[in-house]
Amino acid sequence: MSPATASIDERVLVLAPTGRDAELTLSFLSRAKIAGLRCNDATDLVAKLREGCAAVIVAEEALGKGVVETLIAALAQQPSWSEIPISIITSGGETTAQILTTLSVLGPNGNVTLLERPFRPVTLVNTLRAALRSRHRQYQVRDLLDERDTVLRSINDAFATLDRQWRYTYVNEKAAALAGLRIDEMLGRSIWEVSPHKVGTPYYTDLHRAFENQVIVRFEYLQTGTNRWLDVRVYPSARGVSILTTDISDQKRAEELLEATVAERTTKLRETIGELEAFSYSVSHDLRSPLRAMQAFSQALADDYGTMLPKEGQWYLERIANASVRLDKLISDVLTYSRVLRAPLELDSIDLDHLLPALIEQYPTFQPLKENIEVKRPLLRVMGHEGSLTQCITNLLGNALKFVAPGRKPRVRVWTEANDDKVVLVFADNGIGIAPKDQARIFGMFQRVHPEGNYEGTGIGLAIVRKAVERMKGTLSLTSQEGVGSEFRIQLPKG
Amino acid sequence: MIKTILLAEDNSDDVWIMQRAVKAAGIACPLQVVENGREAVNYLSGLGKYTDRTKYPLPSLVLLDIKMPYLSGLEVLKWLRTESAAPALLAVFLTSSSDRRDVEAAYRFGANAYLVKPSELAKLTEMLKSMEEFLLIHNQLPS
Repeated sequence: MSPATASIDERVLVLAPTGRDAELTLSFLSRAKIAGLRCNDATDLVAKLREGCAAVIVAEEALGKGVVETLIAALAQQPSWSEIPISIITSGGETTAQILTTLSVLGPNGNVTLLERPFRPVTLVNTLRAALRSRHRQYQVRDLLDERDTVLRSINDAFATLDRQWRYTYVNEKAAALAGLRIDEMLGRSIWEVSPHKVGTPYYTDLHRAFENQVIVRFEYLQTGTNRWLDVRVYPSARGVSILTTDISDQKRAEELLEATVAERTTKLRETIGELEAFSYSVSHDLRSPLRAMQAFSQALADDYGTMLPKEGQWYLERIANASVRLDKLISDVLTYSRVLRAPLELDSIDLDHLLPALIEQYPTFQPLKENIEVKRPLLRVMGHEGSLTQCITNLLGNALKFVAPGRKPRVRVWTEANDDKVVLVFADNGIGIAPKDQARIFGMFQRVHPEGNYEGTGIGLAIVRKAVERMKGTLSLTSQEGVGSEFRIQLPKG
Repeated sequence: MIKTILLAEDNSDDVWIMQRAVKAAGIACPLQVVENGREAVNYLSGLGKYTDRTKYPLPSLVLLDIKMPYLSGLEVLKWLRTESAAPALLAVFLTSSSDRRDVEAAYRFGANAYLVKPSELAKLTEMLKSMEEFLLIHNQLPS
């Protein structure tokens, strides 16, 4: 508060018809360190009163009929927190009674004190001090209201309070804007009168629920007409309810847009998946058909006319046959990979101790080398999918037996380790190993580390393993040293 | 009685391969060939040129490819089981598709077997030999 405001707030206005009276009063006040200000006439008093003052002292003689009315009118325009204390110096007698009648118009709240002549200076000072104390309490209320207003104006939300009869007792600018009205058009009126379209809606029932059950209620509401989404919070009290309303239309629209985008993308993704399925179907059927013809005709040529061909011709035929076998394997691996990608997997408890030895016994590829596989039993159970696990085991065992330095006897060890609620299935071999620079890429599609002539393969096997492990919610890791061997570890949940 | 086999296959390479494999397998049954699904239905109904049953005898076994022009193998089978005069006829799929949906659908429509064509001639020959032995020699056929 600036010093100027402070002095206006603290000043006591004095109106007395004779200069002597006024001077006397002012000197009493001055001695008591109360700031008095003399007013020349009723008009001057009202003008200064509007600017602000702590209290008013009026001599009875100054209160002509017109003056009382002017004063009453000015007092009626005070803000709600204000009730300026007025001290009237009277002489007693008939005139006093008449003035009192007139002043009763100020109502029961009129803050009027009578000071009858003759009085001692200390009586005047005491009366004024009491008036000033009362005025200071009013200033406190004013400051609190100011503070509340500042807060409520500064928030971006609409705020309103209602009394027990659902009448607006406070409305901030945002709330008025939301209702499309001015603040003064709302104050004192019932919310149901201001917004009759809300009666009977969820808004209506939620507000009643908050007040009747004295619970905080929060809901979203689509305002008709403006078509705006509102987030409404209702806080009950004994006096009524407070309503804090946030406009969440933008947020809602963003959500709707997001949902629409997600739906659209999902549709596109489904289409893409559908196309991919059609593609892999076509690969399995259409690409294989000419390949089969290549294989069959080269076979027939070898069978029927092989002996008529020179050595070189026979060698050409052999190359054709080998290439077509490789292509056939490539196609079936790509198909396996795409099946692993999209097949729905239901995870089950898998008995590795049964599955793994059975695979080694039954897979034709492992027959000549099965003595080279050492399984440390018992193997622990894992959560997985039998088909996918079979795929992983056969691919890893197959690789371990295949990628061995020439002349070296392959040796593969398989075991499981418990790791909290996980189980690790380990395949350790004595193979050629994988150089550190290659370790990251060997799990990708069509990745081969070794030239095609040296070791047979399509470069898809490990990609299938990685995908299958991922889809079983497991992890796959590799440690390898060139020339020493590799260790593949599949970690899965305990079965 | 001579048992005829009807092969529905649109790819002429595959027809040739089948004929060679049938011969290599030592299967004595005559092999009749139609090149699409619609022809298969015509043959089995005895329509058009197929009215001559001495030239085109009713087969004891139908071998169906899945993907064929006009009518697919699955559609031919559905027709055979529900609308034809010989709903009990042995029908076996011989196709390159190992797609699970094709396999499930084939059995749902009433296929007697589902075979995936091996790419090697020797394996195909072996497969046909055991198929003939089981279905046409040991097996009791419906009349």
